[in-house]
Amino acid sequence: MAKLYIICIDDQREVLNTVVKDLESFENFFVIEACESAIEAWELIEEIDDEGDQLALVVSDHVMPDKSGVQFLTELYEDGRFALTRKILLTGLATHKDTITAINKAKIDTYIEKPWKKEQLIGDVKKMLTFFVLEAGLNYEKYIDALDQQTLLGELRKKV
Amino acid sequence: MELVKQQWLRHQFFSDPDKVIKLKKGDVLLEENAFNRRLYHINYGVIKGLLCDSNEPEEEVFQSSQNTFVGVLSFFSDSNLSYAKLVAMEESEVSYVESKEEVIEKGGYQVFFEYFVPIIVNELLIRQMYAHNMANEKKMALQKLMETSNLATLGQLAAGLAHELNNAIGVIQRKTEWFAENISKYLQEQNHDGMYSFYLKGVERGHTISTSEIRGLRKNLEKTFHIDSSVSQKFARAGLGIDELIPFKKNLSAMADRISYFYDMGAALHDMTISSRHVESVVKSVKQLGTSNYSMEQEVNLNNTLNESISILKRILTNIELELDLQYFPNIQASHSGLVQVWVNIIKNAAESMLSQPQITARLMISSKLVRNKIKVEICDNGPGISPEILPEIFRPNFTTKVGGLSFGLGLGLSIVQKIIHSHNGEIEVASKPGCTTFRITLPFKPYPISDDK
Repeated sequence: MAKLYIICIDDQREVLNTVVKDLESFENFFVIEACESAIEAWELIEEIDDEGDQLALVVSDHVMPDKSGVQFLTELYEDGRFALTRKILLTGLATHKDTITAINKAKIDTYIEKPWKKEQLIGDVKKMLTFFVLEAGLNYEKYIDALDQQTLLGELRKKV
Repeated sequence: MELVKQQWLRHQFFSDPDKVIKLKKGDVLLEENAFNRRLYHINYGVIKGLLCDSNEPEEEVFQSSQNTFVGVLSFFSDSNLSYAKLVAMEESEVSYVESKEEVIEKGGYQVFFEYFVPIIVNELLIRQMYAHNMANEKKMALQKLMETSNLATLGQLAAGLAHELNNAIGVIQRKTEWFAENISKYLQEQNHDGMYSFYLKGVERGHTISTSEIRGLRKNLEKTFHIDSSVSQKFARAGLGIDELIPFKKNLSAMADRISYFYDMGAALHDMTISSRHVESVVKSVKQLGTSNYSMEQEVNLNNTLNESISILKRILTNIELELDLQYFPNIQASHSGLVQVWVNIIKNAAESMLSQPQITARLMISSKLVRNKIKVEICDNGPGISPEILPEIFRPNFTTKVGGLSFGLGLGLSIVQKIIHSHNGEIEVASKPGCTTFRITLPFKPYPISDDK
């Protein structure tokens, strides 16, 4: 069975580890991977794609050396293979211009400001995963503990 | 035409050998408000006009040089009072006519006037331009002063902010230490069947291995112990190798949660310590913009400050070829932390610029030597270079090429560097072209005084 991945990207290890730690409750349903750069993330994404697995969610920092988060998320959006992948930008510093690009070009789904609150991060991740699971046509009952119940109910009602 | 008139005037009115005054530098030809009926022609030299207000320093209002006239206003006006003090700026010589009457006697006032008016108009224009330039210079100086005072305000603000942040971060640091100590003591007492060692590993190691190394390790552990990837993931994240896990190999899957729990506890404390230190150093660099609180009296081995900076930047320098040529010279009197900060800033910039072009082997050369009572330090990288347009800007505060806020990115680095070097009475220069950027720092060689009783 195809595995579902969540990838977290941040160039600062302490921050990256904290994000991963905050998301550990999702590990029962998803594989959580940590990457220190966008380039590393791309390598991993290619591997995931080769294995026939799916990328459910990316949580990315913006300000990173070599390639910025917005740049990376734009590439991901333009790639086409990951149309269903949900994208969260988690950043302490993005200029007005960066933010506009993030929305218009990278089509990010959620923007979270650093320092973040664990509950908020988990809540947003749950919502994003709910959209992903439904849009990917997966059996949501299997993932129910990792999903946002209200969003799920709302979306299901729309379908009826 | 002008010259012909001038020569005629000079010949006609200013050729009396008895009416010549020679002036040395600083000699006063005429005091302000003095009675004057003479008109002076400058044969050679330069004479300046000063306005003296008892409350203000003397203000220069014009400078006149060879073949021009001074004493013009008092000569032509009815009051015959000099409005400015006339002082020779260098060795000068003037010829003069005694009064209007003498002019009439010598060739007629009418003729004199005809020739003199264009010259005097020209003279007025020159003086007006002079006044205009002076005003302009003052405006510029005032602007600069405003900028500096803005900076000073920024500095005060920074210092205030730094103080507050330091208090807060100080508390967090101390409490983190306290927690680490007490958790450590507690766990040691309880022991938890060998779990204490994993906690300690977390404290010591934190997250020193990269995420790609973690993935490699995970695959390795999976193969070696035939365990599930979610289990090996936990060990890999903790950076626990095969050797460390062998003692537990019988029930690794059951132990995974516990081991990573204790490791994570230690690692969390490690991260808290690292992060609060990070805040501390950011605060320090902001604070140093506002003040110059370096102790310059320290005995400093300059080459040690270079080596120390290199070891601080070890992580960023891993993929860079380093060439060191540090020559021996005696210890100097300087600020140790100040110099370390200078090198760290320059080396870090160099490393970051070189790493932006991964296809080229990054090479950094650092040399120090003593040449004729001057210490010369050169830091040279083969990065893409600084473009000529931004080169003059790099020492300006608030100037940064770093997008967003990567590793501080406050744009204060090089302005602080320059400030520290200047406080050592040194100089900093930069020359840059693609593939070769060199920062040259020259410091006066100031040996640390050796006490007499030794």
